[in-house]
Amino acid sequence: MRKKDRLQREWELYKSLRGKELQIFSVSTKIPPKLNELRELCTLPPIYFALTEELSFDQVKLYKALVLTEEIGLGWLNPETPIIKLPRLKTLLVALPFWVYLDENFLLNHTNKLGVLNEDDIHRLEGYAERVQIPQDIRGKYIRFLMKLLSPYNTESILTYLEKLEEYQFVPSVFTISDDLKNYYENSHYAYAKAASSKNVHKGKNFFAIVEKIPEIGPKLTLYLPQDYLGQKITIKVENKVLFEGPLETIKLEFTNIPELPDYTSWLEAIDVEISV
Amino acid sequence: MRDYKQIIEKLLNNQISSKEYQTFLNVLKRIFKQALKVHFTTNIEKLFHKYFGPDYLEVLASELIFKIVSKKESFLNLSFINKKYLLTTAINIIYLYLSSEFKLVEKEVNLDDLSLTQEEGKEQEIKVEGLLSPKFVNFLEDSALNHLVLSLKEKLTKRELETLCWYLDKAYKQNPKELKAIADALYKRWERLKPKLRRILEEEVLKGTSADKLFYAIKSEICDKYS
Repeated sequence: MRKKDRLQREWELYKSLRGKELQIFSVSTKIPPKLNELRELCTLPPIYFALTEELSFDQVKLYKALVLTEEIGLGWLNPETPIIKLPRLKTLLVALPFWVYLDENFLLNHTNKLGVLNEDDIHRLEGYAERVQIPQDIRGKYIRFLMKLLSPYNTESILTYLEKLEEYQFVPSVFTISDDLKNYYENSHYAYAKAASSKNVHKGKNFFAIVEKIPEIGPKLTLYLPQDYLGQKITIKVENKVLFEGPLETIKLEFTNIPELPDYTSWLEAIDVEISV
Repeated sequence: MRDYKQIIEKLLNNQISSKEYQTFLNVLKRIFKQALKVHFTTNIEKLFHKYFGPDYLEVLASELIFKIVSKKESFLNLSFINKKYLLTTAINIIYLYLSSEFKLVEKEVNLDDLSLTQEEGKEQEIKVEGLLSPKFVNFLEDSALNHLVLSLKEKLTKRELETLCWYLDKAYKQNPKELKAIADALYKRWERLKPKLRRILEEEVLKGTSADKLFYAIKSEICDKYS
Protein backbone atom coordinates (compact mmCIF):
# COMPACT_ATOMS: atom_id res chain seq x y z
CA MET A 1 0.00 0.00 0.00
CA ARG A 2 1.23 3.45 -0.86
CA LYS A 3 2.27 5.58 2.04
CA LYS A 4 -0.14 8.35 3.08
CA ASP A 5 -2.65 7.56 0.31
CA ARG A 6 -5.89 7.85 2.29
CA LEU A 7 -8.14 6.99 -0.65
CA GLN A 8 -6.17 3.82 -1.29
CA ARG A 9 -6.49 2.89 2.38
CA GLU A 10 -10.23 3.52 2.38
CA TRP A 11 -10.59 1.41 -0.78
CA GLU A 12 -8.52 -1.45 0.71
CA LEU A 13 -10.64 -1.37 3.87
CA TYR A 14 -13.88 -1.37 1.88
CA LYS A 15 -12.79 -4.23 -0.38
CA SER A 16 -11.75 -6.32 2.60
CA LEU A 17 -15.26 -5.98 4.07
CA ARG A 18 -17.18 -6.75 0.89
CA GLY A 19 -17.22 -10.09 -0.79
CA LYS A 20 -17.87 -10.48 -4.49
CA GLU A 21 -21.59 -10.55 -3.79
CA LEU A 22 -23.71 -8.40 -1.53
CA GLN A 23 -24.83 -10.05 1.66
CA ILE A 24 -28.25 -8.52 2.28
CA PHE A 25 -30.61 -9.18 5.16
CA SER A 26 -34.34 -8.89 5.67
CA VAL A 27 -35.70 -6.05 7.79
CA SER A 28 -38.01 -6.71 10.72
CA THR A 29 -40.24 -3.65 10.31
CA LYS A 30 -41.50 -3.57 6.76
CA ILE A 31 -42.68 -0.20 5.52
CA PRO A 32 -43.87 0.04 1.89
CA PRO A 33 -41.64 2.31 -0.18
CA LYS A 34 -42.81 5.70 -1.40
CA LEU A 35 -41.41 8.28 -3.75
CA ASN A 36 -38.80 10.74 -2.32
CA GLU A 37 -37.87 8.47 0.57
CA LEU A 38 -34.34 7.82 1.77
CA ARG A 39 -33.91 4.13 2.62
CA GLU A 40 -31.06 2.05 4.01
CA LEU A 41 -30.26 -1.36 2.57
CA CYS A 42 -29.81 -3.89 5.38
CA THR A 43 -26.17 -4.84 4.74
CA LEU A 44 -22.78 -3.90 6.17
CA PRO A 45 -21.22 -1.56 5.20
CA PRO A 46 -24.67 -0.12 4.44
CA ILE A 47 -25.87 1.29 1.11
CA TYR A 48 -28.57 3.95 0.85
CA PHE A 49 -31.17 4.78 -1.79
CA ALA A 50 -33.12 7.96 -2.57
CA LEU A 51 -36.27 7.01 -4.47
CA THR A 52 -36.59 9.59 -7.23
CA GLU A 53 -39.04 8.05 -9.69
CA GLU A 54 -41.89 5.60 -9.49
CA LEU A 55 -42.85 3.53 -12.51
CA SER A 56 -46.16 1.88 -11.99
CA PHE A 57 -48.46 -0.28 -13.96
CA ASP A 58 -51.68 -1.03 -12.10
CA GLN A 59 -50.46 -2.75 -8.91
CA VAL A 60 -46.86 -3.18 -10.01
CA LYS A 61 -44.20 -0.65 -8.95
CA LEU A 62 -40.56 -0.14 -9.81
CA TYR A 63 -38.45 2.66 -8.30
CA LYS A 64 -35.52 4.58 -9.70
CA ALA A 65 -33.13 4.58 -6.74
CA LEU A 66 -30.16 6.95 -6.53
CA VAL A 67 -27.32 5.42 -4.59
CA LEU A 68 -25.64 7.01 -1.54
CA THR A 69 -22.82 5.74 0.61
CA GLU A 70 -21.00 6.14 3.93
CA GLU A 71 -17.59 5.86 2.20
CA ILE A 72 -17.07 9.60 2.10
CA GLY A 73 -13.53 9.81 0.71
CA LEU A 74 -14.25 7.37 -2.11
CA GLY A 75 -17.69 8.74 -2.97
CA TRP A 76 -16.91 12.47 -2.83
CA LEU A 77 -15.95 13.68 -6.31
CA ASN A 78 -16.09 17.47 -6.09
CA PRO A 79 -17.55 20.33 -4.01
CA GLU A 80 -20.89 19.83 -5.79
CA THR A 81 -21.26 16.25 -4.53
CA PRO A 82 -24.49 16.18 -2.46
CA ILE A 83 -23.96 15.43 1.22
CA ILE A 84 -26.64 14.30 3.67
CA LYS A 85 -26.22 14.44 7.44
CA LEU A 86 -28.22 12.05 9.58
CA PRO A 87 -27.33 13.32 13.06
CA ARG A 88 -29.81 11.05 14.84
CA LEU A 89 -28.09 8.03 13.29
CA LYS A 90 -24.57 9.52 13.64
CA THR A 91 -24.13 9.08 9.92
CA LEU A 92 -22.87 11.12 6.99
CA LEU A 93 -23.72 10.19 3.40
CA VAL A 94 -22.45 11.22 -0.02
CA ALA A 95 -24.42 10.76 -3.22
CA LEU A 96 -22.93 8.64 -5.98
CA PRO A 97 -23.40 9.47 -9.67
CA PHE A 98 -25.52 6.45 -10.61
CA TRP A 99 -28.87 4.83 -9.98
CA VAL A 100 -30.53 1.44 -10.09
CA TYR A 101 -34.10 0.27 -10.54
CA LEU A 102 -35.48 -1.67 -7.61
CA ASP A 103 -38.90 -3.23 -7.26
CA GLU A 104 -41.18 -2.48 -4.36
CA ASN A 105 -40.86 -5.94 -2.81
CA PHE A 106 -37.10 -5.72 -2.69
CA LEU A 107 -37.34 -2.30 -1.03
CA LEU A 108 -40.05 -3.49 1.35
CA ASN A 109 -38.13 -6.57 2.48
CA HIS A 110 -34.54 -5.36 2.57
CA THR A 111 -34.54 -1.63 3.28
CA ASN A 112 -35.42 0.54 6.26
CA LYS A 113 -37.13 3.86 5.72
CA LEU A 114 -35.04 6.70 7.20
CA GLY A 115 -37.07 9.72 6.15
CA VAL A 116 -38.26 11.86 3.27
CA LEU A 117 -36.43 14.31 1.03
CA ASN A 118 -38.11 17.36 -0.44
CA GLU A 119 -38.64 17.78 -4.20
CA ASP A 120 -35.79 20.30 -4.59
CA ASP A 121 -33.29 17.96 -2.98
CA ILE A 122 -34.54 15.04 -5.07
CA HIS A 123 -33.92 17.12 -8.22
CA ARG A 124 -30.50 18.09 -6.92
CA LEU A 125 -29.55 14.45 -6.41
CA GLU A 126 -30.91 13.48 -9.84
CA GLY A 127 -29.16 16.38 -11.55
CA TYR A 128 -25.86 15.42 -9.96
CA ALA A 129 -26.18 11.74 -10.92
CA GLU A 130 -27.03 12.63 -14.53
CA ARG A 131 -24.39 15.34 -14.93
CA VAL A 132 -21.30 13.97 -13.24
CA GLN A 133 -19.00 11.54 -14.98
CA ILE A 134 -17.57 8.59 -13.14
CA PRO A 135 -13.81 9.23 -12.95
CA GLN A 136 -11.21 6.71 -14.10
CA ASP A 137 -9.29 6.90 -10.83
CA ILE A 138 -9.62 4.90 -7.60
CA ARG A 139 -12.97 6.59 -6.82
CA GLY A 140 -14.29 5.42 -10.19
CA LYS A 141 -13.02 1.93 -9.37
CA TYR A 142 -15.02 2.01 -6.13
CA ILE A 143 -18.18 3.35 -7.82
CA ARG A 144 -18.02 0.71 -10.58
CA PHE A 145 -17.43 -1.99 -7.97
CA LEU A 146 -20.61 -0.91 -6.18
CA MET A 147 -22.51 -0.77 -9.49
CA LYS A 148 -21.48 -4.33 -10.17
CA LEU A 149 -22.53 -5.46 -6.68
CA LEU A 150 -25.96 -3.90 -7.16
CA SER A 151 -26.43 -4.94 -10.80
CA PRO A 152 -28.05 -8.35 -10.03
CA TYR A 153 -30.78 -6.59 -8.01
CA ASN A 154 -31.17 -3.94 -10.70
CA THR A 155 -31.55 -6.52 -13.48
CA GLU A 156 -33.64 -8.82 -11.32
CA SER A 157 -35.99 -5.95 -10.47
CA ILE A 158 -36.42 -5.01 -14.11
CA LEU A 159 -37.03 -8.66 -15.01
CA THR A 160 -39.54 -9.06 -12.17
CA TYR A 161 -41.30 -5.96 -13.40
CA LEU A 162 -41.39 -7.34 -16.92
CA GLU A 163 -42.65 -10.70 -15.66
CA LYS A 164 -45.42 -8.94 -13.78
CA LEU A 165 -46.31 -7.04 -16.91
CA GLU A 166 -46.42 -10.41 -18.72
CA GLU A 167 -49.16 -11.51 -16.34
CA TYR A 168 -51.43 -9.01 -18.03
CA GLN A 169 -51.10 -11.13 -21.17
CA PHE A 170 -50.66 -8.50 -23.81
CA VAL A 171 -50.87 -9.77 -27.33
CA PRO A 172 -47.60 -8.60 -28.82
CA SER A 173 -47.10 -7.18 -32.27
CA VAL A 174 -44.32 -9.23 -33.85
CA PHE A 175 -41.95 -7.84 -36.45
CA THR A 176 -39.10 -9.42 -38.33
CA ILE A 177 -36.08 -7.24 -38.91
CA SER A 178 -34.78 -7.24 -42.48
CA ASP A 179 -31.62 -9.24 -43.23
CA ASP A 180 -29.93 -6.06 -44.47
CA LEU A 181 -30.44 -4.33 -41.15
CA LYS A 182 -29.42 -7.44 -39.21
CA ASN A 183 -26.19 -7.66 -41.24
CA TYR A 184 -25.55 -3.95 -40.78
CA TYR A 185 -25.52 -4.26 -36.98
CA GLU A 186 -23.56 -7.50 -37.03
CA ASN A 187 -20.79 -5.81 -38.99
CA SER A 188 -20.88 -2.53 -37.07
CA HIS A 189 -19.03 -1.48 -33.90
CA TYR A 190 -21.73 -3.26 -31.88
CA ALA A 191 -20.09 -6.56 -32.82
CA TYR A 192 -17.07 -5.54 -30.77
CA ALA A 193 -18.83 -3.68 -27.97
CA LYS A 194 -18.29 -5.18 -24.57
CA ALA A 195 -19.61 -3.44 -21.50
CA ALA A 196 -18.13 -3.78 -18.02
CA SER A 197 -21.22 -5.59 -16.85
CA SER A 198 -23.05 -7.40 -19.57
CA LYS A 199 -26.82 -7.23 -19.51
CA ASN A 200 -29.69 -8.05 -21.77
CA VAL A 201 -32.30 -5.78 -20.21
CA HIS A 202 -32.40 -2.03 -20.43
CA LYS A 203 -34.69 0.70 -19.12
CA GLY A 204 -34.68 3.51 -21.63
CA LYS A 205 -36.18 6.96 -21.24
CA ASN A 206 -39.64 5.72 -22.24
CA PHE A 207 -39.36 1.96 -22.72
CA PHE A 208 -38.16 -1.33 -21.30
CA ALA A 209 -36.18 -3.60 -23.59
CA ILE A 210 -35.14 -7.19 -23.18
CA VAL A 211 -33.19 -9.55 -25.43
CA GLU A 212 -33.82 -13.25 -25.00
CA LYS A 213 -31.83 -15.94 -26.77
CA ILE A 214 -34.33 -18.51 -28.01
CA PRO A 215 -32.68 -21.61 -29.53
CA GLU A 216 -35.28 -22.18 -32.26
CA ILE A 217 -35.56 -18.64 -33.57
CA GLY A 218 -32.37 -16.93 -32.40
CA PRO A 219 -32.28 -13.76 -30.28
CA LYS A 220 -35.54 -11.86 -29.81
CA LEU A 221 -36.03 -8.26 -28.72
CA THR A 222 -39.12 -7.33 -26.71
CA LEU A 223 -40.02 -3.70 -26.08
CA TYR A 224 -42.59 -2.44 -23.61
CA LEU A 225 -43.83 1.05 -24.31
CA PRO A 226 -45.96 3.46 -22.24
CA GLN A 227 -49.71 2.94 -22.40
CA ASP A 228 -50.37 6.54 -23.40
CA TYR A 229 -48.48 5.93 -26.67
CA LEU A 230 -51.25 3.56 -27.84
CA GLY A 231 -52.83 4.76 -31.08
CA GLN A 232 -50.05 7.29 -31.69
CA LYS A 233 -47.60 7.08 -34.55
CA ILE A 234 -44.20 6.16 -33.17
CA THR A 235 -40.71 5.59 -34.54
CA ILE A 236 -38.25 3.12 -33.04
CA LYS A 237 -34.64 3.44 -34.12
CA VAL A 238 -31.33 1.91 -33.21
CA GLU A 239 -28.62 4.40 -34.07
CA ASN A 240 -30.69 6.18 -36.74
CA LYS A 241 -31.78 2.96 -38.49
CA VAL A 242 -35.54 2.53 -38.27
CA LEU A 243 -36.78 -0.73 -36.74
CA PHE A 244 -40.44 0.25 -36.65
CA GLU A 245 -42.58 3.17 -37.73
CA GLY A 246 -46.33 3.35 -37.50
CA PRO A 247 -49.30 3.56 -35.13
CA LEU A 248 -48.85 1.65 -31.89
CA GLU A 249 -51.49 -1.04 -31.44
CA THR A 250 -50.14 -2.78 -28.36
CA ILE A 251 -47.62 -1.75 -25.74
CA LYS A 252 -45.59 -4.92 -26.29
CA LEU A 253 -43.55 -5.24 -29.47
CA GLU A 254 -41.39 -8.18 -30.42
CA PHE A 255 -38.64 -8.18 -33.01
CA THR A 256 -37.11 -11.33 -34.42
CA ASN A 257 -34.14 -11.82 -36.77
CA ILE A 258 -32.22 -9.32 -34.63
CA PRO A 259 -28.41 -9.26 -34.95
CA GLU A 260 -26.34 -11.89 -33.19
CA LEU A 261 -24.07 -9.85 -30.90
CA PRO A 262 -21.68 -10.99 -28.18
CA ASP A 263 -23.07 -8.31 -25.87
CA TYR A 264 -26.30 -6.34 -26.26
CA THR A 265 -25.63 -3.58 -23.72
CA SER A 266 -24.63 -0.79 -26.11
CA TRP A 267 -27.09 -1.91 -28.81
CA LEU A 268 -29.97 -1.72 -26.31
CA GLU A 269 -28.73 1.62 -25.05
CA ALA A 270 -28.83 2.97 -28.64
CA ILE A 271 -32.59 2.30 -28.95
CA ASP A 272 -34.62 5.45 -29.30
CA VAL A 273 -38.43 5.57 -29.17
CA GLU A 274 -40.16 8.75 -30.31
CA ILE A 275 -43.66 9.87 -31.11
CA SER A 276 -43.69 10.88 -34.79
CA VAL A 277 -45.06 14.31 -35.53
CA MET B 1 -8.84 -11.69 13.79
CA ARG B 2 -10.99 -11.23 16.89
CA ASP B 3 -14.75 -11.73 16.60
CA TYR B 4 -16.82 -9.01 18.32
CA LYS B 5 -20.12 -10.75 17.62
CA GLN B 6 -20.68 -12.01 21.18
CA ILE B 7 -19.99 -8.71 22.93
CA ILE B 8 -22.11 -6.77 20.41
CA GLU B 9 -24.96 -9.26 20.84
CA LYS B 10 -24.79 -8.74 24.61
CA LEU B 11 -24.75 -4.98 24.12
CA LEU B 12 -27.73 -5.04 21.77
CA ASN B 13 -29.71 -7.39 23.97
CA ASN B 14 -28.95 -5.31 27.06
CA GLN B 15 -27.06 -8.18 28.71
CA ILE B 16 -23.68 -6.53 28.94
CA SER B 17 -22.04 -6.12 32.36
CA SER B 18 -20.50 -2.78 33.29
CA LYS B 19 -17.03 -4.36 33.22
CA GLU B 20 -17.61 -5.78 29.74
CA TYR B 21 -19.02 -2.44 28.62
CA GLN B 22 -15.92 -0.63 29.83
CA THR B 23 -13.64 -3.13 28.09
CA PHE B 24 -15.60 -2.75 24.85
CA LEU B 25 -15.49 1.04 25.19
CA ASN B 26 -11.69 0.81 25.46
CA VAL B 27 -11.58 -1.30 22.28
CA LEU B 28 -13.62 1.34 20.47
CA LYS B 29 -11.34 4.11 21.76
CA ARG B 30 -8.35 2.27 20.30
CA ILE B 31 -10.24 1.90 17.01
CA PHE B 32 -10.84 5.66 16.88
CA LYS B 33 -7.18 6.30 17.67
CA GLN B 34 -6.24 4.07 14.74
CA ALA B 35 -8.87 5.67 12.45
CA LEU B 36 -7.59 9.17 13.21
CA LYS B 37 -3.97 8.17 12.76
CA VAL B 38 -4.28 6.07 9.61
CA HIS B 39 -7.28 7.59 7.78
CA PHE B 40 -7.08 11.22 8.89
CA THR B 41 -4.32 13.54 10.10
CA THR B 42 -2.74 14.66 13.36
CA ASN B 43 -4.31 18.09 12.85
CA ILE B 44 -7.78 16.59 12.69
CA GLU B 45 -7.11 14.60 15.85
CA LYS B 46 -6.03 17.87 17.50
CA LEU B 47 -9.35 19.45 16.47
CA PHE B 48 -11.27 16.67 18.24
CA HIS B 49 -9.12 17.26 21.30
CA LYS B 50 -9.80 20.99 21.08
CA TYR B 51 -13.58 20.69 20.74
CA PHE B 52 -14.30 17.66 22.93
CA GLY B 53 -11.49 17.94 25.49
CA PRO B 54 -9.04 15.22 26.60
CA ASP B 55 -11.83 12.61 26.68
CA TYR B 56 -12.50 12.99 22.96
CA LEU B 57 -11.90 9.29 22.30
CA GLU B 58 -14.50 8.37 24.92
CA VAL B 59 -17.01 10.78 23.33
CA LEU B 60 -16.40 9.21 19.92
CA ALA B 61 -16.59 5.66 21.31
CA SER B 62 -20.01 6.45 22.82
CA GLU B 63 -21.15 7.71 19.44
CA LEU B 64 -20.03 4.46 17.85
CA ILE B 65 -22.03 2.46 20.40
CA PHE B 66 -25.04 4.57 19.51
CA LYS B 67 -24.51 3.85 15.83
CA ILE B 68 -24.14 0.09 16.44
CA VAL B 69 -27.52 0.19 18.18
CA SER B 70 -29.05 2.06 15.24
CA LYS B 71 -27.78 -0.67 12.89
CA LYS B 72 -28.83 -3.46 15.23
CA GLU B 73 -30.37 -5.66 12.53
CA SER B 74 -27.37 -5.56 10.22
CA PHE B 75 -24.87 -6.23 13.02
CA LEU B 76 -26.89 -9.12 14.46
CA ASN B 77 -27.18 -10.70 11.02
CA LEU B 78 -23.41 -10.87 10.56
CA SER B 79 -21.98 -14.25 11.49
CA PHE B 80 -18.57 -12.76 12.30
CA ILE B 81 -17.93 -9.14 13.30
CA ASN B 82 -14.32 -8.24 12.78
CA LYS B 83 -12.68 -4.98 13.80
CA LYS B 84 -12.85 -3.57 10.28
CA TYR B 85 -16.64 -3.17 10.47
CA LEU B 86 -16.14 -1.05 13.57
CA LEU B 87 -13.29 0.86 11.95
CA THR B 88 -15.29 1.80 8.85
CA THR B 89 -18.21 2.90 11.09
CA ALA B 90 -15.78 4.98 13.19
CA ILE B 91 -14.38 6.67 10.07
CA ASN B 92 -17.88 7.78 9.04
CA ILE B 93 -18.49 9.28 12.50
CA ILE B 94 -15.26 11.26 12.21
CA TYR B 95 -16.40 12.57 8.80
CA LEU B 96 -19.79 13.51 10.30
CA TYR B 97 -18.14 15.69 12.96
CA LEU B 98 -15.68 17.14 10.49
CA SER B 99 -18.55 18.13 8.18
CA SER B 100 -20.44 19.68 11.12
CA GLU B 101 -17.43 21.68 12.37
CA PHE B 102 -17.55 19.67 15.59
CA LYS B 103 -20.89 21.07 16.63
CA LEU B 104 -23.22 18.61 18.22
CA VAL B 105 -25.66 18.71 15.38
CA GLU B 106 -28.66 17.60 17.37
CA LYS B 107 -29.51 17.40 21.03
CA GLU B 108 -28.72 14.17 22.84
CA VAL B 109 -30.90 11.36 21.58
CA ASN B 110 -32.11 8.54 23.76
CA LEU B 111 -31.28 5.10 22.35
CA ASP B 112 -34.95 4.16 22.62
CA ASP B 113 -35.86 6.98 20.22
CA LEU B 114 -34.17 5.14 17.38
CA SER B 115 -37.22 2.98 16.81
CA LEU B 116 -39.10 6.15 15.84
CA THR B 117 -37.27 6.24 12.53
CA GLN B 118 -39.20 3.16 11.55
CA GLU B 119 -42.63 4.36 12.52
CA GLU B 120 -45.10 5.41 9.89
CA GLY B 121 -46.51 8.84 10.48
CA LYS B 122 -43.37 10.11 12.23
CA GLU B 123 -42.01 11.54 9.01
CA GLN B 124 -38.36 12.48 9.38
CA GLU B 125 -37.46 15.25 6.96
CA ILE B 126 -34.00 14.80 5.47
CA LYS B 127 -32.07 17.55 3.73
CA VAL B 128 -29.19 17.72 1.30
CA GLU B 129 -26.59 20.00 2.87
CA GLY B 130 -26.11 23.46 1.40
CA LEU B 131 -22.90 25.02 2.63
CA LEU B 132 -20.20 22.61 3.71
CA SER B 133 -17.54 23.22 6.32
CA PRO B 134 -14.30 24.43 4.65
CA LYS B 135 -12.28 22.06 6.89
CA PHE B 136 -14.29 19.15 5.52
CA VAL B 137 -14.01 20.20 1.85
CA ASN B 138 -10.28 20.94 2.24
CA PHE B 139 -9.64 17.56 3.78
CA LEU B 140 -11.47 15.73 0.98
CA GLU B 141 -9.72 17.81 -1.68
CA ASP B 142 -6.37 17.10 -0.06
CA SER B 143 -7.10 13.37 0.01
CA ALA B 144 -7.94 13.41 -3.71
CA LEU B 145 -4.90 15.56 -4.52
CA ASN B 146 -2.65 13.37 -2.46
CA HIS B 147 -3.89 10.35 -4.37
CA LEU B 148 -3.30 12.13 -7.68
CA VAL B 149 0.23 13.14 -6.77
CA LEU B 150 1.08 9.61 -5.67
CA SER B 151 -0.38 8.34 -8.96
CA LEU B 152 1.87 10.74 -10.85
CA LYS B 153 4.81 9.46 -8.85
CA GLU B 154 3.96 5.91 -9.87
CA LYS B 155 3.12 6.56 -13.51
CA LEU B 156 5.93 8.96 -14.46
CA THR B 157 9.60 8.10 -14.74
CA LYS B 158 12.18 9.88 -12.58
CA ARG B 159 13.25 11.94 -15.60
CA GLU B 160 9.64 12.89 -16.37
CA LEU B 161 9.08 13.94 -12.77
CA GLU B 162 12.18 16.13 -12.93
CA THR B 163 10.83 17.73 -16.12
CA LEU B 164 7.46 18.34 -14.47
CA CYS B 165 9.15 19.99 -11.49
CA TRP B 166 11.29 22.12 -13.80
CA TYR B 167 8.18 23.29 -15.66
CA LEU B 168 6.26 24.08 -12.47
CA ASP B 169 9.23 25.97 -11.12
CA LYS B 170 9.50 27.94 -14.36
CA ALA B 171 5.76 28.65 -14.43
CA TYR B 172 5.67 29.93 -10.86
CA LYS B 173 8.98 31.75 -10.70
CA GLN B 174 9.46 34.52 -13.20
CA ASN B 175 13.22 34.16 -13.65
CA PRO B 176 14.46 30.60 -13.52
CA LYS B 177 18.23 30.52 -13.30
CA GLU B 178 19.19 27.70 -15.67
CA LEU B 179 21.29 28.23 -18.78
CA LYS B 180 19.49 28.60 -22.11
CA ALA B 181 20.89 25.31 -23.53
CA ILE B 182 19.56 23.36 -20.55
CA ALA B 183 16.26 25.18 -20.75
CA ASP B 184 15.85 24.22 -24.42
CA ALA B 185 16.48 20.56 -23.69
CA LEU B 186 14.07 20.61 -20.76
CA TYR B 187 11.46 22.37 -22.85
CA LYS B 188 11.63 19.58 -25.45
CA ARG B 189 11.26 17.01 -22.68
CA TRP B 190 8.29 18.97 -21.34
CA GLU B 191 6.61 18.95 -24.76
CA ARG B 192 7.02 15.17 -24.92
CA LEU B 193 5.66 14.75 -21.40
CA LYS B 194 2.52 16.85 -21.93
CA PRO B 195 0.32 14.22 -23.68
CA LYS B 196 1.12 11.61 -21.00
CA LEU B 197 0.38 14.10 -18.26
CA ARG B 198 -2.89 15.06 -19.90
CA ARG B 199 -3.91 11.40 -20.00
CA ILE B 200 -3.20 10.88 -16.29
CA LEU B 201 -4.88 14.12 -15.24
CA GLU B 202 -7.96 13.29 -17.27
CA GLU B 203 -8.19 9.95 -15.52
CA GLU B 204 -8.09 11.65 -12.16
CA VAL B 205 -10.93 14.13 -12.18
CA LEU B 206 -10.19 17.10 -9.95
CA LYS B 207 -13.07 19.42 -10.64
CA GLY B 208 -13.15 22.45 -8.37
CA THR B 209 -9.55 22.11 -7.23
CA SER B 210 -7.39 25.11 -7.98
CA ALA B 211 -4.19 24.91 -10.01
CA ASP B 212 -2.36 26.47 -7.05
CA LYS B 213 -3.39 23.65 -4.76
CA LEU B 214 -2.27 21.07 -7.30
CA PHE B 215 1.05 22.88 -7.75
CA TYR B 216 1.78 22.96 -4.02
CA ALA B 217 0.84 19.30 -3.63
CA ILE B 218 3.19 18.27 -6.46
CA LYS B 219 5.88 20.59 -5.13
CA SER B 220 5.81 19.29 -1.57
CA GLU B 221 5.29 15.62 -2.39
CA ILE B 222 7.58 15.32 -5.41
CA CYS B 223 9.72 18.34 -6.32
CA ASP B 224 11.03 19.23 -2.86
CA LYS B 225 12.32 15.68 -2.59
CA TYR B 226 14.29 16.05 -5.84
CA SER B 227 15.90 19.38 -5.05
